[in-house]
Amino acid sequence: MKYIRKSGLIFLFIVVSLIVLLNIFLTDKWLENQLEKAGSNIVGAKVEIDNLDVSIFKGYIKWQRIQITHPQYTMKNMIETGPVEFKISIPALLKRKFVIENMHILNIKTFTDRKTDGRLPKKPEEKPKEPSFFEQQFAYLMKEVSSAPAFEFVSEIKNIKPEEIINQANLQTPQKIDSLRNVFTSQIENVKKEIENIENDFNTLKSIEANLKTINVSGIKTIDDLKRTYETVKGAIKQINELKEKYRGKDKQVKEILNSFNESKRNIESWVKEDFARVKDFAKLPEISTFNVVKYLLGPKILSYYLTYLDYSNRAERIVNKLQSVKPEKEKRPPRLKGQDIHFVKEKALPDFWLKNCAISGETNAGFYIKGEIKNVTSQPQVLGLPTTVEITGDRPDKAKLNLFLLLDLASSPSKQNLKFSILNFPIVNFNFGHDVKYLPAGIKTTTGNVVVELSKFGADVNSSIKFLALNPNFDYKSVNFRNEYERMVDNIIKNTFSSLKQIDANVYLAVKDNKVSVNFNSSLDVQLTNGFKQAIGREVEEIKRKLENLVRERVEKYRVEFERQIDEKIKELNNKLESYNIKVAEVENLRNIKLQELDKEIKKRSGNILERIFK
Amino acid sequence: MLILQVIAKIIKILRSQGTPGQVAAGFTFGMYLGLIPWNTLHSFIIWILVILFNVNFGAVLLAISIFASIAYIFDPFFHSFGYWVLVDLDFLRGFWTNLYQTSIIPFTRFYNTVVMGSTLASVLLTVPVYLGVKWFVKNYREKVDPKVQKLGVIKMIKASKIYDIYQKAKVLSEL
Repeated sequence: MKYIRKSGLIFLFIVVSLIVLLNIFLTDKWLENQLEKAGSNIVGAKVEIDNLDVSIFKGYIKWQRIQITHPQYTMKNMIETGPVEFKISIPALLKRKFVIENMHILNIKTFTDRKTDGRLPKKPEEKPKEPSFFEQQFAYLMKEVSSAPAFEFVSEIKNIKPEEIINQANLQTPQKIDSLRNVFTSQIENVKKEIENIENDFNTLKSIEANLKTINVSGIKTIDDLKRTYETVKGAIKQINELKEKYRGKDKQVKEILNSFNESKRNIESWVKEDFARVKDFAKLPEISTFNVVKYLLGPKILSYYLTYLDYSNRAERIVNKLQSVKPEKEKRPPRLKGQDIHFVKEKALPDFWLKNCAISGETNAGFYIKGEIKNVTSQPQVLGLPTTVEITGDRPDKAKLNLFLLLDLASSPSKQNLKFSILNFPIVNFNFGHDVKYLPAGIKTTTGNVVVELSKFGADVNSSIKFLALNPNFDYKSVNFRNEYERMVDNIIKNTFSSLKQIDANVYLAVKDNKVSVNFNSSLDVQLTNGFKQAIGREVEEIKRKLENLVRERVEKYRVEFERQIDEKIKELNNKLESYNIKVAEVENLRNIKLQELDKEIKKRSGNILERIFK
Repeated sequence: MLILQVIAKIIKILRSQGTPGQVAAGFTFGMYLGLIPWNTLHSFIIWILVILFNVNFGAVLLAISIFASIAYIFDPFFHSFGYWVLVDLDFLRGFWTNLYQTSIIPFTRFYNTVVMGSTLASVLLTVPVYLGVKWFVKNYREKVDPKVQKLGVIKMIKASKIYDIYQKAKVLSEL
């Protein structure tokens, strides 16, 4: 007993008693606070648990109510539950694992009112993260569906001044023509330099020609003189050939320049077309042959739903992958004294968290009485080897039906997700489209509709479709101040088109493949509205287009004509020089041959006379 | 003033009635408690040992205050050391995985990089700290303390009325 502290034994007894008492009175409250804190961090708004009761020895947990605040509408609960009680596995708990066999969540309610604001106190603002390539694409799509240039154009149609647009649009063709001129000029100058001695050589040819012309064959007295002259004329071919060879190939070079010049003339035409397209863009002239109204009408809302879903799904995958990684990446700077937990995963072992089965029932804010099952919610799906499934069905007294099936298979690699969600025969009241386009209906006052969503995700690739059908819709419009008669016309046409609709349909297909997002909206409504739009402003748009095209051509024309004239002249000059030179060479060569023939003839003639005289 | 208080505390511990071994053991336990995060099973067990065994409690508290500061400073090192042991040493992976699936042991939070790093650091420091402190206390008591007691300042303090009152109060408090 020398080493044992008696007072220590007493102190330990007091401490153990205190712990037992605290466990009875305080642990529930402490755990409640911890769970609320953890939940709030995940949701981004207050999570409140009422009367949490935990009994580790009996292995149960129960609470009276959980309120999960909607992160955007903090005076509303996203989900509120009634009393919940469930058993936890004690053997698993001894392994520091939380396994729930069966849970029943009854009286679930959605979008309920809160008595207090569920907003969390503001954290110091974090440095905004650089958006990923994927987020940038979504932002781009969102911008595309949020701004409707065709409609903006209607307001500006009267103010459009083609001259000003041309001045501001910065036409590229004149500059391109200028640089083309420089290229040709330098090519021509190079050839010109190479034939700069052509005048001298021309003169040499002329003097050879003059010399040849002075030869009077009959005037040469002796045969020896004739023979000498013959040899001289014969030898002239060497000099002629030298002069002939000197500029051989230059005319080919000039021809090539000419061909490339002709090719450039055709290019100028395509530049003009590019400039016209640029001017059209600058003037925001709409292309009204295909008018995708549904894109503007439903695009912003649908894309934001997609982004939210994919954001949550990616976040869940990231967390789960971290929790089940065999060799997790080292955290660079974990909070001081907190470190990094390494979860040593092992197949067919217990995961750290596993909710085996959860039966839910309740009522949504839309009046659906829902019931369903959630199975195998786990923090380490690869350890468990089972996918998480959610199956919920709901109905209303008016025969509207709701179905949700979600399969989340993060156990397989790559991960798989399958979502099927449908609401049928659902009466919609005061549905807001959430767009900013002036003339389109801001929302639907009343309708009965179907929404069918199907989404499958395989790794990072997504394939999805949303089919929306509203029957006998009654639209709601914002009041518009008209700035010109076209606005009034477009507004009338759109309102008439929409009011005549017996139904409005929209099909949206969104796919993500190799990190690239593509989205396609279509509806039978598009054809009707395109025709109406054409009728309202089609003629005006065409007229402005024609004016702009003429102006572009006019501006470019003077550059083009001047360029063609200059280069044409220079090429002609080169061609003329080379042609006249070649003609002169041919002439001298011809003259030399004639003279040679004359001399040969004369020599033969005189030689014949001498022989005749000898044999006489 | 704080430094003076700490020095006074150290001198008090060094001159206490406990054996050098008790002071050294208290200091070593305190080192564990200071370095290892508190919410672990082994930290809790060490507290029980400290309470149960006759070690110098003052040394425990002193070591906690010193090593808690050291733990804060060396946290990145513990994190890296723990990560190396838990993740990079492949031959230990099977052992850790099996340990992770056992009962009770996971409550030590051995799978946390800082817990593992600081626990291993404490284990490595146990022998040198224990022997070092023991040697220091022994030598202080034999060689340094008699000289300190003969210092003019100490004599002056001891002769003062305040010291007299302190001694009386000490006797009363021990009754």
